[in-house]
Amino acid sequence: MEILKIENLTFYYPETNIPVLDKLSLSVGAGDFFILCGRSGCGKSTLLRNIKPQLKPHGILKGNVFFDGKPIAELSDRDAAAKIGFVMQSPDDQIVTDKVWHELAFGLENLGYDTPTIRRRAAETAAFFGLEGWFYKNVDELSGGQKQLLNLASIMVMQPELLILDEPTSSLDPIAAADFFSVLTRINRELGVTVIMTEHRLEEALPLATRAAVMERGRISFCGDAANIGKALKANDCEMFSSMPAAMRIWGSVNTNLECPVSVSEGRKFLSEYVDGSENMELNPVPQSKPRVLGKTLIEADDAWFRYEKGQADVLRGATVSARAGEHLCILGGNGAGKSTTLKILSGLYKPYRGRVKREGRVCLLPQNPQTLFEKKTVAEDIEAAGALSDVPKDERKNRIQDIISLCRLRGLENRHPYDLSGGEMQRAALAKLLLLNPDVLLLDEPTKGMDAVFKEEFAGIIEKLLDRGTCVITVSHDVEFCARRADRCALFFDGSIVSEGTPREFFLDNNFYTTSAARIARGIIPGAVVAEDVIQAIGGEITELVEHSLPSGDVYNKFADNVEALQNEKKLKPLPLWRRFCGISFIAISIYIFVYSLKTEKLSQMIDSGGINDRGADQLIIYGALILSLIFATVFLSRKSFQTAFAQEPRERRKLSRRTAASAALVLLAVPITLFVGIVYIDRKQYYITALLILVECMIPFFMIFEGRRPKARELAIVSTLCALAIAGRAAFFMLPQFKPVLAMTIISGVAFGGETGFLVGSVTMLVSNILFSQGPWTPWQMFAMGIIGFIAGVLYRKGWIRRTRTSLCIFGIVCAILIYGGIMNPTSALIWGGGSLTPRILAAYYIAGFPMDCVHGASTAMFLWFIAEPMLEKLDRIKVKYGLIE
Amino acid sequence: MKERDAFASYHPVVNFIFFGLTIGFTMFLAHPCCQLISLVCAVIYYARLKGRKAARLSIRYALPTAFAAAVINPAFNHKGAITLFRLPTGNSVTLESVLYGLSAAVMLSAVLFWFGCYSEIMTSDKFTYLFGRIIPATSLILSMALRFVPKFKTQFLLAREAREGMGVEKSGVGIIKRIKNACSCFSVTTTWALENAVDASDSMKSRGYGLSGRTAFSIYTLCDRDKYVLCFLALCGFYLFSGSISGGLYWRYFPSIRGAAIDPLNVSFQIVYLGICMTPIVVDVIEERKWKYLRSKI
Repeated sequence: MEILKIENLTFYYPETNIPVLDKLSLSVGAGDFFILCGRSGCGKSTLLRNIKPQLKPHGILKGNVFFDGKPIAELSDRDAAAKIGFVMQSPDDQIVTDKVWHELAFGLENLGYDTPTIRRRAAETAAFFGLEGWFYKNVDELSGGQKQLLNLASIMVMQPELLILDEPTSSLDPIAAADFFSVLTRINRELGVTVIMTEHRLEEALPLATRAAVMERGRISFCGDAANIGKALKANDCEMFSSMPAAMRIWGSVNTNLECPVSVSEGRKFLSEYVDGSENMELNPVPQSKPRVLGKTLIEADDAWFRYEKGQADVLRGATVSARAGEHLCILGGNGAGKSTTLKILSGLYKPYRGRVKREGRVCLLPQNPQTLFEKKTVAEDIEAAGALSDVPKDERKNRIQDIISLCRLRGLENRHPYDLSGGEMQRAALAKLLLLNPDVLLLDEPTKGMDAVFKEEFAGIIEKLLDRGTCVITVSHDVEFCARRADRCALFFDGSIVSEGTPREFFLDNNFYTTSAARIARGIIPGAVVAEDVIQAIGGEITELVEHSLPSGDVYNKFADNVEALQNEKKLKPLPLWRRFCGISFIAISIYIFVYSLKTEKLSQMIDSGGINDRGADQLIIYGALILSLIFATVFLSRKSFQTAFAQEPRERRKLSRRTAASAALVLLAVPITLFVGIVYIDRKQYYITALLILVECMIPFFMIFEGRRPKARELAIVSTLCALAIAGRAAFFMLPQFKPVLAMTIISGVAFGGETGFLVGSVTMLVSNILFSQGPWTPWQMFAMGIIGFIAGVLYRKGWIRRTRTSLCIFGIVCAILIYGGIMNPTSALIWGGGSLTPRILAAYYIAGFPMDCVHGASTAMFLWFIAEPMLEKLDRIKVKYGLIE
Repeated sequence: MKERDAFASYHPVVNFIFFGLTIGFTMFLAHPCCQLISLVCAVIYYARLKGRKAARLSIRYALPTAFAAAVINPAFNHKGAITLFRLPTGNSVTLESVLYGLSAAVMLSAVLFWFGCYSEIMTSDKFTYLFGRIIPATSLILSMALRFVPKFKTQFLLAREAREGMGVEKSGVGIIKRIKNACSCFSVTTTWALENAVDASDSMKSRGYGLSGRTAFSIYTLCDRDKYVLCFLALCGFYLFSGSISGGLYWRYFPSIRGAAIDPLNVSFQIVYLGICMTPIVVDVIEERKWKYLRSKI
């Protein structure tokens, strides 16, 4: 029976005229383990996302998708969520909550199951997946493989009938990937769940499939079981054939009537039959690669010992590694053997506590995740940003950048945002950035992770060219095939040091488990063969060349670039009239003068005496008032009304006041006067704190209730919590400097970008969560309120277009907020908390004066943060708004 | 330091009500006896939770703030009948205001110590559980933010390593350059965080977020012992509240010090207050004894 049927599906992304899916038809039977192969960019992900209604991409769709005999559009939201499971690529980004048990329960909570049912289902799922040991853990304690297993489990807990996986193992190491595949097989065989998966690791995945399909340029070209796919690919001389498992490629290179093998054991059977079966079969000698001419030793670690922390075990135990100019050294080994650490030692990131490291020339390390290098909004700008670090003279840089762009095959991609590239392209863009520094030694950490065969080949081509130029390359990799093909020397890392070393041929022939699949297929049949090409040549077959990717033309993301450009054009405005600039600048000068003057002349101890503040203190208050006034004047002169633009303004949503909102408004209108009355009449007058706290909480309630009342979408929640987490991380990073925190700056930016409500939420939730993480005290609600209200005001002022969004206006606004609002709320709070209840105007004034220097520090730091991060942050947020479709 | 506190294993509602009662009464009751009870219990419990060393350290930090609170009041407040001495400015420092300052200091330190215990006991998941039903979206934001913070920290460190791996000098550079470096690492992290947040929201959507009738699952069940403690706290809290309304815990400093008379009824209020504040410690000790007793029988 068919569980999924796709008929003539055509799909265009908005504003493009090339279909991503082109009259595609496909049917998947119930209980199938279906693997969809195809190169990067052939439309696999688009197809998969069109099967899951919740993830349907924006665009024009024609044709039909039937699930269980019904059109997928007619599926209720609940069924679509529960019956079709979807696992994405990145293990880390799919996890929503902070605890393993909560993550498991999340889907069932959404479906509205009661606690006993969720408990039972979570329990049996945890048992099936072997998660019992980490049920109560925080998710950030898990490894990548465990996280992906958790993602799978938290889908399976909803008991789907169809499970869709989009390259689920591309960021896992081979051992974790094998674990993942075995669990997937169990789900398919033991539970009968239909599985549809796209995957680059065809070597391991294809033997598991009951059916497979090859996709090319938006169409399914072949469909059938794996062996038939092999036959069809061979018959049509299809380019995807080069990505197939080694056994299949060996089979395809010769003319034979034998069945097409898929797995290693089938491959072995085929090879021995083929070699024995053919009469007068003479094996050609396995081609010997000629050794490269090597230069002098550029990098060397001699007996290096290293541990991360004093009490911990050693990670490196006498590692000895060296590499010469023009040499490609590949280091293999299991997880946690110390491979990546070795690279960090070699690059100088860490120093060994025993042993020596010698380096000659420039050493550059390409990190495992290329995304950790991208900071600018286009590839070209990003490469250029590395220029500041290099010693290439400025006028030569342009040529060099062009050189590197063509070497790394990034032409045509220069104006893309780095995050809009595919995995392989991203890796090349990151490599390009390093190459501008002209490294003599290049250290690569898992460069081929998640790349398809063609991208790998392209990447290897670039490495090859660099080696010819005399660069020394050291690669750490799990990718056995890549190392066997491309290394000059391979080394096996185990338990903190190198246990064996040699040319790829010696190395992989000696190994029994840790070797290529071609070597495993050919062991004992063709002596000395390591890669599939060796076997093919030995049996006289034909070697197929990989066809390189052509660069995609009209693409989806160009419109983002257009939008960003529009924004930039909007920024270029007539300059302010001279007199306004003059006034503004003079007021800034006055404020700085007053600030310096007040710091210099007055001492706190002289201003406050036994009678609260004295006359000098009162003078000081006037000075502070003057400072604030002059700052406000400066804002007035330097800022101006904003134009109404798509980014700055959002149409006011017409929505009815929900019952919750109305209730909360009524609550506040009633509660505040009652609280005041009760507080003054019944509670002792000295308990101001409690009364004030109650009023404060009542004022915050409507904000949260309105937010709850309109049932925010998933994307909004994700963005708000991301902004909060960034601010919290920022607060944590500067914990040692009092009041020198980026929280206020982040709150203002959030308000400016997304409006008052988001500003309030980001501000108050940030203070709440950071206090949960660090230390809570009676001041928490006050901080929440102060920060929240600043975000709200920023949102209202900037979104309504009352103030223009410029760097200067943001900075001044930041200072005013810090001193006037945050200080204005927090100083009386300390008077309430510390003063123990006795509150007179004089005491209040004394607290204001005592708090003023700290407020100034807060204001200055906020201005500084805004100066540095406001513009790039707003740019990024604007891009996100377009990309996520947050503005229509 | 203790591995796991027995009171922490109680239902979050019990924990929350306990802290609500103690912190509320600590701020509300001005009677010096109550304040002392609260402070002593808070310090003992804090020491049990965090170890004696940490408690000693906290006391050292708390003293100056308490001292400041104690000094500020007599300096500003000149009410009261008994003058101790006169300040150079001519204002008098009175016994009442000194005592009032002391009481403020005790109250403040007690609140701070209770909050210290609160942070230990009310972990983030308990907090999100309690508010998950009333404010589901906000509590989900809390949970997600808590999940993102360590993720971003790791990413920031990775970005810094990536930069250093490119050959940016680690040490010995000017402060401006270091700030710029930190800012570009922050920029890298921000881009990464925002771009990948869409995956989280996709994952939420694909698991049915936004359907009507969302429930809140928890790993907590309200069992009998929770109910007993809850009843105990509720009864004590009610008794104490009525006591304070009827003036059984009355205390004033100005114009002259007066307090409720010491009679059996008023003393009973103090005892009940002691009972509330001691709850977690008693629970803890009983469970420990029971454990030891059961072990000894094996």
